[in-house]
Amino acid sequence: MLNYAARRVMLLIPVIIGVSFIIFSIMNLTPGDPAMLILGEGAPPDALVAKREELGLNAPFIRRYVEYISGAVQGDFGKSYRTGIPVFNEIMTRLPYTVMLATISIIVAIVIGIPAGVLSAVKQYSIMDVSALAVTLLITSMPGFFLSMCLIIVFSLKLNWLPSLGIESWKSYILPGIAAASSTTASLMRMTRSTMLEVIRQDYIRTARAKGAPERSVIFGHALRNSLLPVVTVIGVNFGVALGGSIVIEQVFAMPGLGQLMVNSIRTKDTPMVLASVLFAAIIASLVNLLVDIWYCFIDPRLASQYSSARNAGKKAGV
Amino acid sequence: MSKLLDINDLHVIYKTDEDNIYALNGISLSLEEGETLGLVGETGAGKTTIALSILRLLPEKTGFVTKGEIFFSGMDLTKVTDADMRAMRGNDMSMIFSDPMSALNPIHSVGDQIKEVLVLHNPNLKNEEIDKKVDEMMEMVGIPSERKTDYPHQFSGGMKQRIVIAIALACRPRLLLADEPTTALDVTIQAQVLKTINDLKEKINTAMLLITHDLGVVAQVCNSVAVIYAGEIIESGTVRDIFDNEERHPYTNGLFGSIPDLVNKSPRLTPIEGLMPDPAKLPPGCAFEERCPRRMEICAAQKPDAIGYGSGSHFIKCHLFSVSKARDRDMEVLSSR
Amino acid sequence: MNGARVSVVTAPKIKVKKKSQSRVIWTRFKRNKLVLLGMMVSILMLTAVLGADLYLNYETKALDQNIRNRFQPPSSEHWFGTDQYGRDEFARVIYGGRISMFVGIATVIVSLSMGSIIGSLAAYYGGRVDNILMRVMDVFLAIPSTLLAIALISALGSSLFNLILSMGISQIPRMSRIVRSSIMSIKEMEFIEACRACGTSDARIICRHILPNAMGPILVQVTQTVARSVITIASLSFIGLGISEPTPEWGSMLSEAKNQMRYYPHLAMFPGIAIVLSVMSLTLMGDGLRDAMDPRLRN
Repeated sequence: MLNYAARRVMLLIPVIIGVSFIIFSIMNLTPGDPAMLILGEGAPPDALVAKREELGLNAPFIRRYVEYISGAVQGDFGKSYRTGIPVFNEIMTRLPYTVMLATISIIVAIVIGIPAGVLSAVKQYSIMDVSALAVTLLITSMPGFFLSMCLIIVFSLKLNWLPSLGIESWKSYILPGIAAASSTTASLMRMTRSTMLEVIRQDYIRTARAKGAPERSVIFGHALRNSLLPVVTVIGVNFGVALGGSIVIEQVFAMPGLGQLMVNSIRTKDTPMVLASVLFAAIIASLVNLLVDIWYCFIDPRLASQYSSARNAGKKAGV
Repeated sequence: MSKLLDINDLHVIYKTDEDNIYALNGISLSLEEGETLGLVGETGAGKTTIALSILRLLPEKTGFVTKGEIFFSGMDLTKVTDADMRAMRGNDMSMIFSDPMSALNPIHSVGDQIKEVLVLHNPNLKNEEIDKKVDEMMEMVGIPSERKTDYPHQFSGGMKQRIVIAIALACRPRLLLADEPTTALDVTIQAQVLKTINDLKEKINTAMLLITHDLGVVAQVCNSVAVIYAGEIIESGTVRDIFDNEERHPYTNGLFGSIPDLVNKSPRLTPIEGLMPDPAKLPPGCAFEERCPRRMEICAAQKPDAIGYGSGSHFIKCHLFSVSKARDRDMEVLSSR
Repeated sequence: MNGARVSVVTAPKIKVKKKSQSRVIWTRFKRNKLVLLGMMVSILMLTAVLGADLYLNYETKALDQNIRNRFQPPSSEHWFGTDQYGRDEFARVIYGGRISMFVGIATVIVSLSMGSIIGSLAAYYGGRVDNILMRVMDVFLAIPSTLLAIALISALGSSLFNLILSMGISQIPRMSRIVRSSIMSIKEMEFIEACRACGTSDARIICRHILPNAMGPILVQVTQTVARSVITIASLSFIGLGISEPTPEWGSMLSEAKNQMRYYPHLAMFPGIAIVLSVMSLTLMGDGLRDAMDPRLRN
């Protein structure tokens, strides 16, 4: 088991390298002269040349990449072209908000979405099922920011129950949380429902009934446990999507998260900032995926048995 | 001796979005304690539907019993409560399905799956005793009990089927419904599995309804036979009645004719031409009329009754065997003019 | 002698019906009322958008500013009211639809073509080629697609062409996986082996047998990609990275409307509902297609 987990962690490293390489290459395509951005348009040419030398922009691509990565692992992501502050500090103050929104989405999605999906599947075509399907269809068809705006219009402007902008109190997190969680919950609910429906039609469910098992045991002991496996694999992907979604939702609620930073930096061509923001987000998404994969290995007995039976075979051979 | 299983004029339909499918159209058959009845027919004739109806496992929203009774030890299963039915499933009657590859839950160990049926119906037994029984059953079907912590994917098809058999027989049921238990397996494994079923059946004195399309299997294992076509039993009797006799229902004759003959040389097999009628649009007369090489005018118009033939245990549903009766009727008509 | 007449028969009557695969799927597709509704709404919107020039004038309605006429509520003259520059909201929504549709389809073309090439190469050659290609795709998939699109746009600049390129590229990994798994599952089927045994050439096998059968899941994925693109482009425009003023686009219209939410919420409603309707109808169609093609879901 540890073997499998260790292997998955080892795999993460090339993935992270690959991701960082791709993002670095993409950002490298950005037109414009960083030296001019920093020093201003009217700066004298030799100052520009010196600045470019200082930033290491004349070095070949690979060397710049390697230098960037070696700096990154030590926590140095360069300095903002705009403010000169170390990028790392800026990102660290903002990252928590975005990650928190995404985490809330996933937790709410698991706690509400999965049971709702099970219920819907078990009572297929009932009123509850049909209305749940309609509601989730509606939600997944709405862009996150539109949902946010509707929530603001209803709860903040018309009813005046909750604040809409900024992060004054704990109340400020409610509407953004609902907006972020809604689409993740809706999509997880649909996934759970369709998986359950498929599983319930399997032969082994009929076998369980033929044994005389009560319906509750059939649904929870047999069907649900089998359905959870594919659903779990999807949770990791959903976190990545939720992260992307949070970035846009932050804009609507004026939350000082990573999204705002990213958008502003893009507008001002502050490449180190953009590079580091995207990199952080992508790597966090990969880490979550990895955790989900490892967790999956623990809960799928077929994978677990592969490794334990290898151990047992060793035992039997007298090892 | 009262019958263990007595099905009386059973009609079952499947309701789909498009049509009603008339799966069973007046099935009557019976089984004594310890008897093995072979139910023979081609795909789609209704064999599995009979088994599912007995266990009341027809798909909830689509399968309905529209007429008839199923008596098990005197109880009408169509009228029993759900709770009572659940108490009987796996306990007094159980089923072996045709596809072993998908019949077992992939994420439970095989030992747990055998244990489940024991725990469900023996609430008073202690854990150690149940574990002992699980080991016992596994040994009985020829699988070492050390493997009870293994998962279904670690077994071959034949072994999976034997686990299914172990589950089905763990509670010593009085009736075993075996739905083509060997069809999905290799021929060599088929013989083994069949032997396992038969040996256990003898040991426990279980009655068995063996569903198959293989007449050879019927000859080996069964006491009596029923031939089903388009949802009706068109011929029934003891194995001797059906196998030794030359006079049979034309369909049964067709089935025998389709078997390659090891003794005599023949250039081609003689299959039965055509296909079974669409169960959504059954003809008013005999269902086999379209394909019957010996059909008469009356066959398309009127359904034949089951007519006794010979020794008294043999029944055939065919107008050919009631020719004499028809002759008498026509004579009456002629003479009354 | 006897009343019963025995007729001698030669061959029994056999009736065989044949229905082509696509006809069967179409029949089942039609049966689902909801899905049909989705398709009709899609077609309605498509016609309204494509034929816009017939009943609307782009310049006067969507672009011309008329400050005195700003923020009008819906009326008989301006069905959806006017926006902050006095432009007719209805016309802007319709023309915005045209852009969304165009970008959506262009995105699909880009991702499908590249994705198909990558996916089919991987599926057909298997082994090392497959391994390498799919590892690379996995790395791309590790980056949430919205982020990838944002990164690409920030690097390339936000022209229409770059927008389509970025969104298309961000969808390539997913498309290539679908194409690959589709082709792989067909490739394994026995009738392909039978084809080879008959001596059919590889090219013919691919064109006549593999591709038509693989079309199904790919088609479903296409509708989903278009639906997703509509949302993505709206999101990108919303945060200012997509289509820029004065071209009407639902996302940027919503961005402007956000600032006017307190007093003129209707400006947010119309583009938003347009997005929801188009995505919903596309999703329903995709779901319906998928259900119609899945033989196991028959009731």
